[in-house]
Amino acid sequence: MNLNKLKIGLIAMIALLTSACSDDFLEQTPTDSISSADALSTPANMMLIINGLHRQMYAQSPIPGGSNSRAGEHYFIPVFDVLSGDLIHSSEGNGWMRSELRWTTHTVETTTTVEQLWYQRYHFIASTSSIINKIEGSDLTIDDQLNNVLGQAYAYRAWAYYRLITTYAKGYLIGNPSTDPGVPLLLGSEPPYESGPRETVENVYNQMISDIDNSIAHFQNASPPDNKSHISINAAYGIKARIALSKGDWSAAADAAAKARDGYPLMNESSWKSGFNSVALSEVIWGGKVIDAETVYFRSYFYYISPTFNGSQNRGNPKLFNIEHYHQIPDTDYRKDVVLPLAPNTNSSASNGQGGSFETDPNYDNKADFEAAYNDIISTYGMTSAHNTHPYMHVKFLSEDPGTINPDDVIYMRSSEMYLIEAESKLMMDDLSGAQDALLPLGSERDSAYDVTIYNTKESLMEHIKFQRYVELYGEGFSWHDHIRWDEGIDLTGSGASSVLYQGGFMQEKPSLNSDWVWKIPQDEIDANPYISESDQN
Amino acid sequence: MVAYGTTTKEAYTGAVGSVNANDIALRTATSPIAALEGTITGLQTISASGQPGSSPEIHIRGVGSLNGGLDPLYIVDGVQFDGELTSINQNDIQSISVLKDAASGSLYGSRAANGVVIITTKKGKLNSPLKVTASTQYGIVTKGVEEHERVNPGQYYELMWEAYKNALGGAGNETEASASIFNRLGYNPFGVPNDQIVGTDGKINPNAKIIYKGLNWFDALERTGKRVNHSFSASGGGEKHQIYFSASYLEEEGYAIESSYDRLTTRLNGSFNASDFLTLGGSINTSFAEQKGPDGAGTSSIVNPFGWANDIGPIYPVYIVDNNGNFALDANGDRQYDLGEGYSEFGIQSRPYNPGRHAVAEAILNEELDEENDVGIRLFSNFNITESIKLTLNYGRDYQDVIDSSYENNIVGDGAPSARFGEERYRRLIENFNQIITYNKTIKEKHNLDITLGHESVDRTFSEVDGFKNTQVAEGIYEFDNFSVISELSGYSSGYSLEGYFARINYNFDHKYYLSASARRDGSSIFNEDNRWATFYSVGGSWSMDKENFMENISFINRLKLRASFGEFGNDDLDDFYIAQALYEITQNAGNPAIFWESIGNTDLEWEAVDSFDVALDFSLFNNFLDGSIEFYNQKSNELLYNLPIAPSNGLNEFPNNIGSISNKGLEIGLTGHVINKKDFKWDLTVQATTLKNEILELHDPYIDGSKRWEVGRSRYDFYIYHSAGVDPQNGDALYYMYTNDAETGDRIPVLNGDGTHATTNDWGDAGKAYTGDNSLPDLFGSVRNSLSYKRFNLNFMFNYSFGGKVLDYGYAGLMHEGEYGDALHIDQLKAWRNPGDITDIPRLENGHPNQHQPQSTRFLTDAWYIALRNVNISYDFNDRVVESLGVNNLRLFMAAENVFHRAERKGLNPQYNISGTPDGDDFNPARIISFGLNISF
Repeated sequence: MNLNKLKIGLIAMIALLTSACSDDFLEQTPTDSISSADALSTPANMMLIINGLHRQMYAQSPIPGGSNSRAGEHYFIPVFDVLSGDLIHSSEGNGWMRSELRWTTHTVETTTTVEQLWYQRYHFIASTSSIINKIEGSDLTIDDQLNNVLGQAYAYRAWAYYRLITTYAKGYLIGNPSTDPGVPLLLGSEPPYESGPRETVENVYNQMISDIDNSIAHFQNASPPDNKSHISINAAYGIKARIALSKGDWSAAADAAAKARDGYPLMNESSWKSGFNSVALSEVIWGGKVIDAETVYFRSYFYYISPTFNGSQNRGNPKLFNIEHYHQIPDTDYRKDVVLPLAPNTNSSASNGQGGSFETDPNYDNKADFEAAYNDIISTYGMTSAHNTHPYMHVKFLSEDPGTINPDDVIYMRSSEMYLIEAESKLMMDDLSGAQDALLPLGSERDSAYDVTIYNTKESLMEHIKFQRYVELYGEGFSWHDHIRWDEGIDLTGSGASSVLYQGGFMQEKPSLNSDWVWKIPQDEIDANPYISESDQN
Repeated sequence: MVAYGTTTKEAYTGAVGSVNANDIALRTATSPIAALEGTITGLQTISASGQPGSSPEIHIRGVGSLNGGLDPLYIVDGVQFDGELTSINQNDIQSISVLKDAASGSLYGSRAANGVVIITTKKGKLNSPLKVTASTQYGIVTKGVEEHERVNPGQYYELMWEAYKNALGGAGNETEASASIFNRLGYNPFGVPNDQIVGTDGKINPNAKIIYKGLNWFDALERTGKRVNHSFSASGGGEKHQIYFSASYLEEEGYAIESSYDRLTTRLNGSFNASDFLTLGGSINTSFAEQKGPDGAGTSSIVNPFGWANDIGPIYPVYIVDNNGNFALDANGDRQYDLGEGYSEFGIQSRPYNPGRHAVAEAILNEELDEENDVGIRLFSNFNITESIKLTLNYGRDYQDVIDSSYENNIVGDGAPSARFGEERYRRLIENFNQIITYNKTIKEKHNLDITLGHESVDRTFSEVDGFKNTQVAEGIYEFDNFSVISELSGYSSGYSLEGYFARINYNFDHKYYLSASARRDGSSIFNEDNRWATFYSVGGSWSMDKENFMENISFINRLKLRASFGEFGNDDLDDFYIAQALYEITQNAGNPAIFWESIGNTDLEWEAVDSFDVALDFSLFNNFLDGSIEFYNQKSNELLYNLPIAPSNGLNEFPNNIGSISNKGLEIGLTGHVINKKDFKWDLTVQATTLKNEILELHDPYIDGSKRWEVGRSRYDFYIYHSAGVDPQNGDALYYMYTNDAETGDRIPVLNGDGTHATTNDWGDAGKAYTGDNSLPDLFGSVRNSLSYKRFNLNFMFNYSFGGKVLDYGYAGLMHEGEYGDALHIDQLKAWRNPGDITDIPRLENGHPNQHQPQSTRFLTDAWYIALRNVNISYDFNDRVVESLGVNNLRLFMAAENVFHRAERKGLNPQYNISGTPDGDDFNPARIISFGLNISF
């Protein structure tokens, strides 16, 4: 071995021995996420989490196992009106929500809709619980900002449980809440992640009420909401009113509803007819503002509901207003104008079998009138020539940019609902005049000849309130739970819905006698929750 | 080639299979690993898609993971390779070795759990003259798997009439069904009045003739593609250097419209002896590829044209037809796509199958373009420090730069009405550096020792930007400038790093008894600091029995070697670099910053450990007439990285954990008979067979994974589905056997009727699922290869076979639906129940009756066997006179064919579609490629 080689050898050995990587070589962190510890470390970061929940109200679900097609309230608002047969499909369309309207979705434990509503709402519960538990276990000073965080966290948790308990368990008013199985009641998400058993409906309600009262208490001294996607004290009162209404706690419902609408004046005729596409409308208490960069494309609320959005669902399947309800609307009520009873039936595949031309549509006897009526509608509302029209189609929900797929806002809560909750609650407390008084501002705003005094019995006024809810809140996602609260079945005879299209969804026995009004517990919950087995299925 | 070095077959104690350049040359595959199918035992191949430029998947000795990655580790010229396999020109490959057991693989420690594939590229040779070769080939590309058998338009109308009549309430509704079945289906291709297509007897009107043109969507989707490949290489060397250079160009058009691939590769390998103690060199390789193809193949997306062509009813035309069934032409005289939203002027209603969409038009009008540049370098230096001590430094860096762009047109589909455009650009960079010291010594002539010590680091970074805009300005410009509204702009980086120390000792006594032992300590960035490091090892030995004196008299044994090994290696791959970390993902709400809870993480997460045992006998017998090996393996994967499904009520639905253990064991047999070995006529016959038994040994709780259920004592691929009990002859209801949980064991047990027979129901939800006793893994699979040469002719052909196992034929099930208006039907539906008393196993068609159709049922469980003539290669070498007169050294003409012939239980079924046995029948099926070519060397 010569000296050179020895030197090289030594250098090589040293190189090898010292080639070990530095300590942080094996430390890797992502750039699109932050650690949980950081996320919960400051009030400002906790507000980021709240903001993330606001986004998930209208986002293609970003969580692992989330569905891009069940984009939060974009899907769940219209589905609750489709299931009950209130938002009527005029044709087979392209399949979206067809299985829902036939009652073959919520009755099947493995469907995406059943799984996603459950999962997405429990995600809200886990996220808000993390914030609540973190703050309660800390010595943070509860200032205005933290009150805002806590107010929203408690409100979201109450709202999420409200969605779950009213959907996956028997209605409070038609069941035996103290024994009926509800949903797992979790107030934290911790190892070993075994979840829990179905708690009684009563106990879940107790938690919801405690949470929403906590929320309202924190909001008393909270910083103001950044925008309408945030839950404000008014929205918290609105959630409380909904919970109390579903439970039959009428005085709480009436009281909370009145507080909720304070500061959110009723829309006038032109606002009401502007298409329900913006949270800027005066009545909107709570709603998601959807900007271009956060669009969900064809997974949007307006894809499922609007006659002017530009998807095949919209072009081929305009949604109908119930014919019988339509004819109950007085001519002096401007809401009547958002239904087009004589819209030509242009779709040859319309499920009523009367579509295609003036020859099939009994409302027309010549081509010129048929086409003129069609052209009038599409030019008035800005649809494209590929859009179909149908008698009794609604034009309540109109895209801000008709004929495009540009996103529109999603409205979660507005004042009119609160007037209706107050009226119904007062009536249920046998306060007929109080109920009439509550209804009067809404009725007289909508109907220039409104006279609430003609509904002078509890029965007639209740019928009227039901009618008002249908007309005012059409398409806003309330009718399913209204049916349950009122214990009303479904009979679409005379509504304009086609029995060939609707099949099982055409006629259903009332909720107290028909267990299919309770959604199935998702199979993936049963599979992974050691406390719930097949025998616990609804 | 073995881990960090080379060895001889004789000295080796592990399980390694390999193919060399000659084997590879027989194949015309774009991905080099396609050449492994049928040539190495224990290796299962999932067929490549028909998309030009795609690669098959391979699984080595079964699947030993639950949620982890299943891909083997690829090492190219000594360095980890994560790029596209198709970026490697197959002509550049000297050999591919597959390391199957612990003795061979454990030196790669953490990355060897799914096996290791070592690809070595060609080098020049010292002191050899320049050799230049050129090759050119031209091929035609057609579909390699047939379509499912579907009903014709008349049959379709009859069956749908039945489905409609039954939805109306069955018998008594014939008149209504006949009057309005057209309204359900919307198209009348027959030239008879709409209310007279099907009579009240359920039979098609005898006057019905098909007048519509263009009802075959596959005609519109498919074509005969072509494949052209040119390559050249030069190699040689002097006293102190060796050089290899190559270039190749490949151009392929797939058999489906809009699909293509082209690729330009170059490679330069050089090695230079700087002095007697230092050799250095390296290589540079580049690959520039461009791939186009329809979006959505194999997915449930509407744009998937393969799913569309298969699933659409046979009465719907591709182009708009007029009242006479002729194409309705536009002002320019061109055909117009039928978008299915109704053409009342031609009496056409909207199409119930995806109205407003047209997957073929969308495939044509959209633009999908993937561009990929792969650039890699390898640098090495060898120091001969002493006679017996050597230091090697290897460094490699591979860049993979990709631009994926996607334009969705403004006429039809998700891009309509404004059109939209997305582009994703990413770079993957992998750096691998290793330092190895080897020591070789022979003591007293009989004790041979070699020792390897090493250190290695791997650093992988990935970064991506992704943009999406809509609202097109001008036609035909596929760049962001041409779109006015930003829908998305995102970008991120991710990183993975690994460091390892390793040592190996090989010892043999007199080339008779071999022993080897290795150990490796690895740290991975996947895990939390406290669990980051783990140690893996292996021990192997072999005994060359033929060298023993007592064997001398056994004349029929030429070579006999017994070898065995055991050891442990690891796995850190759960398809997520940050799986151990609890994270909130960054998002926004109306432009305001936001985050959401994304993952639970688990700081206790640790390495998966794979215990491997292998014993084998290698032999040559009867004057080298027969050689081969028989091998038994047992591989047990413990501490499996597992995304434990948790109840969604936890707010997230999975939690990473180390839970469970799986074993894979089996026999591998490879036999080659040199059947004829004469001067002018040679025939080698090779038969390979592998058995595979997969068993879950430990698991937290049984888990349902789609059509499978994981449970201790069963395989990972045991079907757990609804049990079809045939059809009720009285009413045609689909019946299902009922199961319930055993109160004590929790096992699924049959529900019995009073008379002891198995109870049935017409509601699959009530029936419940149970194990079927089948799984998707084959009992036996392998190949039969023939290699013949007669004078200057060579013929090679290979069959692949697989027996045992089942597939759940979702592709077939999709055509056996209950009567969804507009969806195609399989011809087996002609045997559906119609009248009380009918004995059949096909239930009553009834639109909107979900209980009549449950794809996850034993009704669709199908034998998974197949036999395929995978490859045929015929060549002719011209004689010296011709060759010399042309001034070349060698001239060969050849014909090569891939996927020549394929048989399975059902027409349309490709059992090699995936390992879990769930072919959806909606993918870009493998292609058949028949090529002719010429090789010249100078």
